[in-house]
Amino acid sequence: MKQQDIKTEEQFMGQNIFLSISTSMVFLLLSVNSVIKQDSDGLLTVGMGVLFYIVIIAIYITKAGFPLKMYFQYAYKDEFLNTIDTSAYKHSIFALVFCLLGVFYKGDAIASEVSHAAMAVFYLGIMLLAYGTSLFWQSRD
Amino acid sequence: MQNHIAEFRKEAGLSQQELADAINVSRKTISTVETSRFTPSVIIALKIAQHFNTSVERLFSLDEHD
Repeated sequence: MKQQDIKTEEQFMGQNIFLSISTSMVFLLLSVNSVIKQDSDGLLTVGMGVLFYIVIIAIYITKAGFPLKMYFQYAYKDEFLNTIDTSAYKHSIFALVFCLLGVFYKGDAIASEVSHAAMAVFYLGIMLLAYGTSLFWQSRD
Repeated sequence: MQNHIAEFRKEAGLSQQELADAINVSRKTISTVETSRFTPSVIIALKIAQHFNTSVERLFSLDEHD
């Protein structure tokens, strides 16, 4: 394994943290807005917001030289990065289960008008936030 | 588990990045091993020991919690 591969992995993880946390912020803002306003028309906002975000990310990827090939690898070659990545996946699953239980017990408090799509975006946001935060916390110096 | 990697590294006048480059790991691996937040595999432990021309036992030692 070359040192350049390790540096690429480190760069990829840094970008992954940024992307995960920022995507989760967008998803949570959009879905929570939909839940609070009890407005199914929020879907349009969600769709437009996500579309706008994807365009921003596409520009970011192009400018930053994002190592796209990393998406086709299942594990990091570097031992430490691989370990914290696995832990981050576990944390995101815990966050999802915790969130699902919360929705299960407090389901009546959520307006019935909230669409499944908005809830799905909310769950995705929670998982991404847990994943990004976990990686950020574990990779601190 | 305690380790004396930082001492060996500073004695050799190396930065974390230079040590990481020498043994083909990420700088964060060195950083977190030094602060005992990450326990490396035997392979990495042996590579570090080999780099400093010492034994693993001199680099790592068990504490009372282990």
